[in-house]
Amino acid sequence: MAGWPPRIRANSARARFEMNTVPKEHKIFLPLCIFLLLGLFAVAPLTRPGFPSTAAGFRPVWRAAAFWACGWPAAAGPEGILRGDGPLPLALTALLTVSGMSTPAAVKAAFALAYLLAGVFLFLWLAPRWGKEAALVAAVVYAFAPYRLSVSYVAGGLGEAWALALYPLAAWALDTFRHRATWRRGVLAIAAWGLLAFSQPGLALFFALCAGLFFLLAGEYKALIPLAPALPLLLWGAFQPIAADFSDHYPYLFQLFSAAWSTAPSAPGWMDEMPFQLGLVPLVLAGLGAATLLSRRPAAGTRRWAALMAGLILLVVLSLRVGDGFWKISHLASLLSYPWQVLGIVTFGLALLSGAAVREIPALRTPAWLAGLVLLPLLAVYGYLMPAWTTIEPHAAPVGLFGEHQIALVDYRFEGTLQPGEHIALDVVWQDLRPLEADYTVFVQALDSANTIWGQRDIQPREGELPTSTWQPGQIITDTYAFDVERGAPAGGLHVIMGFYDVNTGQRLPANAGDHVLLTFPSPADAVVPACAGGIP
Amino acid sequence: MSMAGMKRLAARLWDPYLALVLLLSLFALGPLLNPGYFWGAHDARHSVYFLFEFDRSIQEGILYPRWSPDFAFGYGYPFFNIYAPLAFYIGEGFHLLGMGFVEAVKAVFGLSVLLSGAGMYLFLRRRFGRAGALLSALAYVYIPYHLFDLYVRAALAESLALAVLPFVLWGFHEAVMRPDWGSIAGAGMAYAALMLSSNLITLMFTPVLALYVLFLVLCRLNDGQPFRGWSTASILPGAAHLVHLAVPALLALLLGLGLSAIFWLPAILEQPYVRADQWLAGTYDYHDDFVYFFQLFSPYWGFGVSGAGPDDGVGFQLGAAHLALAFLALLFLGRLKDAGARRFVAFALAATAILVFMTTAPAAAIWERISFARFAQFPWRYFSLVAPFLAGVAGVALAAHGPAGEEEQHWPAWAATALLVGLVLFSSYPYVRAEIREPAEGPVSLAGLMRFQRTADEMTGATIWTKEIPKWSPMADLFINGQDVTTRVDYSWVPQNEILAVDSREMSSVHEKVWVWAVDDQQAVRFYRFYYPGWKAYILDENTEEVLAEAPIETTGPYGLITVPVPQGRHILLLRFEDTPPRRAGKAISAVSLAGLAALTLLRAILMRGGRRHD
Repeated sequence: MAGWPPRIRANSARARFEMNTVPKEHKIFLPLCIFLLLGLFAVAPLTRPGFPSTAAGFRPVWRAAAFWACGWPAAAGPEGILRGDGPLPLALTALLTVSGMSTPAAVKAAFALAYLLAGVFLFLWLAPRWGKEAALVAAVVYAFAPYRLSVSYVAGGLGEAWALALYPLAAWALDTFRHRATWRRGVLAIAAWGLLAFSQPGLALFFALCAGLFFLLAGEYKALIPLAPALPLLLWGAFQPIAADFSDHYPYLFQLFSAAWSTAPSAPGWMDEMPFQLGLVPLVLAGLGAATLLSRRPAAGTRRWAALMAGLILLVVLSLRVGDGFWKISHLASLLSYPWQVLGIVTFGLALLSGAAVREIPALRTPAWLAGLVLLPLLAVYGYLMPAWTTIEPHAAPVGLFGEHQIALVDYRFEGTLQPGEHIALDVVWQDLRPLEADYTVFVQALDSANTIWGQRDIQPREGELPTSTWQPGQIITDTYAFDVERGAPAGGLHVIMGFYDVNTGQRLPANAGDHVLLTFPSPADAVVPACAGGIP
Repeated sequence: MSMAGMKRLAARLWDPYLALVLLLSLFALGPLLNPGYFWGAHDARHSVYFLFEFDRSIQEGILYPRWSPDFAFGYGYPFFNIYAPLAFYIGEGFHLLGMGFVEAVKAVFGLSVLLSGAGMYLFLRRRFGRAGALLSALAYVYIPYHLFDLYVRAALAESLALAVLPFVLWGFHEAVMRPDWGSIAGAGMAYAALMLSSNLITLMFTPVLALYVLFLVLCRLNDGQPFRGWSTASILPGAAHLVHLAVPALLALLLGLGLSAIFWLPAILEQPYVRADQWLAGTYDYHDDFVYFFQLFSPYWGFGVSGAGPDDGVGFQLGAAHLALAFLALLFLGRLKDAGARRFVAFALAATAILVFMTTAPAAAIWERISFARFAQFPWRYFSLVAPFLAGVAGVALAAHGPAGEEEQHWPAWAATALLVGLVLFSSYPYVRAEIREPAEGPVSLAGLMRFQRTADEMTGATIWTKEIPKWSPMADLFINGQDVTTRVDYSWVPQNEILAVDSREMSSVHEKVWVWAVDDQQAVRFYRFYYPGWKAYILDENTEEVLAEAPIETTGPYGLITVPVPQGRHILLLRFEDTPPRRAGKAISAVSLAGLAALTLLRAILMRGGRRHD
């Protein structure tokens, strides 16, 4: 059975040349180390003190902290089993915290590990087949693909970052099985896909679907066997509810080719600032690879490559609004949070085609050209490697949650004493987790045991200058609310609550304790414990 | 020389790749070609006013200035006694050719850029081939720290030192690998140039250079007799051979030290007499300026300042293309055919790793233990040593580009060269910019110098006799009002009555002659000058101006001003800044070294000519 990716044929002139240039002994340790060193560019921002300020906010931290206490799927968050973070990255993060790391540091380490592992898997898969130069280029293109940077540093999706890391492993395992179908390889392929499923179940199922279609188109029917266990799960997943705002987040075609970069979260409409670019360099190199592959004679493996290219084009189409009908009819949108998540697989495919260009054109394997091809993807995105950052230290869980997990109270601190006649200032750190439509008013009240109000402050955030409808997911808002405790208040037994309400309706946003959060004095308890039942954002 | 000889020489010197280095360096000069100047850069004002003050001494006929009379608001400061002067000699040359001070400083910056590329190219041409050397040279010109030095810091002395570093490496490499008088003389002159460009960089670089020389010597020793074949009996002859191999480099070092002794000898011996506390504490405390790991890779670039924490207003990146090419050099190292190239790359990679480590917080323990390390002030200053090594290895990708293969003939090597050169330039191009602005102090003048010093605390240098750093002075008032200072006698301290009368007769930046009449031996004359070794006072005969006696010098007041007790009667008091024994010794050593260098070079030329005739 012919291998995929195609191995070099020993009976052609090209193959003879390649046999001479690709060392048989496959000395891949050094180039792998080079890849890891180059990968430092991608993960170095994670070594900065603090935490990346992404659309996900501190959710990965809170979910990881909740993993031991609440288990999975509770820790997956309100997105649920399919679209929430899988147990693998959460467990890994939790394990790292056992070794003494803080949870934010462990989450950052998990992101970094995902980043590097993706390239490692891709390199280890391709190096023996295509040569270390092609594998290095593919790994570097994948490492510095704009979409991957966007997932880690803009969206902040830990589960998806791990899914992107495990696509190459799953593909490697499937290819190994396709090359020679043994039960051992079948188990390994299922295990690799299982790891992917434990990272982000919805994306894993969609990957299995794509892989299955690819093998069908390529005529590699045997390779479908390890994917069989995914079929019932896929059917089950297809009947799960679709994310409410799925259809609002189709990227526009121009966004896939736009050079714009920002750290803003995804928003409905063409003004969406979240970067969706496929990357100039991956597209150019993949185009070069595609052109070379399709024009070569003899056309060994052309069907597979054609299937890959067609599949990538189809996925790009499905990420756009024109694919809306497909998602509605198939109900497969239930697997994804946003349609643009299919771009992760496109990115992976572009990396493969980029590596194929090096494999097909021997001159590109010479040091000078190889250096250029390694530099290009890095330099193309270098300016993006400056994510937004916060130095706020989150607790193990949000101190309070408001609305439908829309606002998190990250931290607070009182200044003053809760006594009659005292002036109290409350410094608060909010984080927006999901968009809010109304402009809510914050209330802070000092109550006695009979819930009599002895001091209060009602005001929109930042004295009305930062209404909640303008808050962006992941945004951190610091604010101060000051009030006086009336002189006639009882000397003891006072407590402070805070919450949000709509000034038009008087309706309060739901919160921890019904419609408000009880604040301990002068700051949250040392160990804020995650509330497992619906308390993990 | 005949016309044919000239043509032969020109043909020998002409190298299109070197011309390309210079041509492509022009992008880095872009901001210097702007009519304005980046006055807001950290040391932009310093560079201009250092040259301004240097020029004032030169205009007075002082060929080796040491005392800067107008610094410290006119109290004076031995600035060029402790600060390397080469950049200012070059700048003065441009100024004497008709350039303004700002233009002259910009010309020195520009020259340093061109020299740095040329030096790196010439150093690596033999090892990497022309294309590889071209890439390394341009990588050096465009390495972000170099641009940071030019346009964010405007550090004139350090920029010039960066230009000299490749010549030093080249010289010592040749002195070890191909020892002859030419290489020894070249290395010695390059080292002297480095010392005269920046004593700080020299202090930091010399241990690295010593390790490089040791590395090369050990490599040569191994070439002669591989270490694995050594026995205990080999140790003694081996050690002797090691010393023998190291002698040319040692001679070069001695020559370099000798040529530059005019500067470093007094600088070292008399540095303890200036206050260094304001340069080593506060803003200059190195503890606050360690580089975070992420900053080495961050694309951030700014024109702010370095401070405690990760939010520095400046970028400390090593350069994306540079670092990536260095990583790839590891991959291509085995493909290099030239052993010298492989050795340089191996050393350069190790040096880069160690020197980069020195800029980060984990190296704090080393900083604590090395007493002179704190003089570097900012740990990131070690990037100036990283630059030649990191940029040097960039060319490996082209040096390792093997002979054209069967199918490679369709891919000419020049295309790959163009791609990599383009990428290196492209990676740094966004940082080739400066913040051009108007000078807040007004035109370059003494008034401007006073305003500048008032806004830059650390500029007010002081000697150890100064207990209180002045914030202003009566001379500064005069300068600001556009008036000349015709005497530095402190008339507010001299009563000018029936007890004592003084009249300043003559003054320059380094002397003053004062007619004095004192009613008794209890009187003294005070000058608005900081005391520093070298200031001498003499009592002269009023009529013949013959020296009658040397007068003692005391320091008085919180500023430690020069105060000279005068004897009873009418005399001329001469106060003069003179050479101290270290200065005289330094001058003598430099003169002897220079004479020796000239004589030996001449002798060699004569012998070679004789040898050719004999042949």
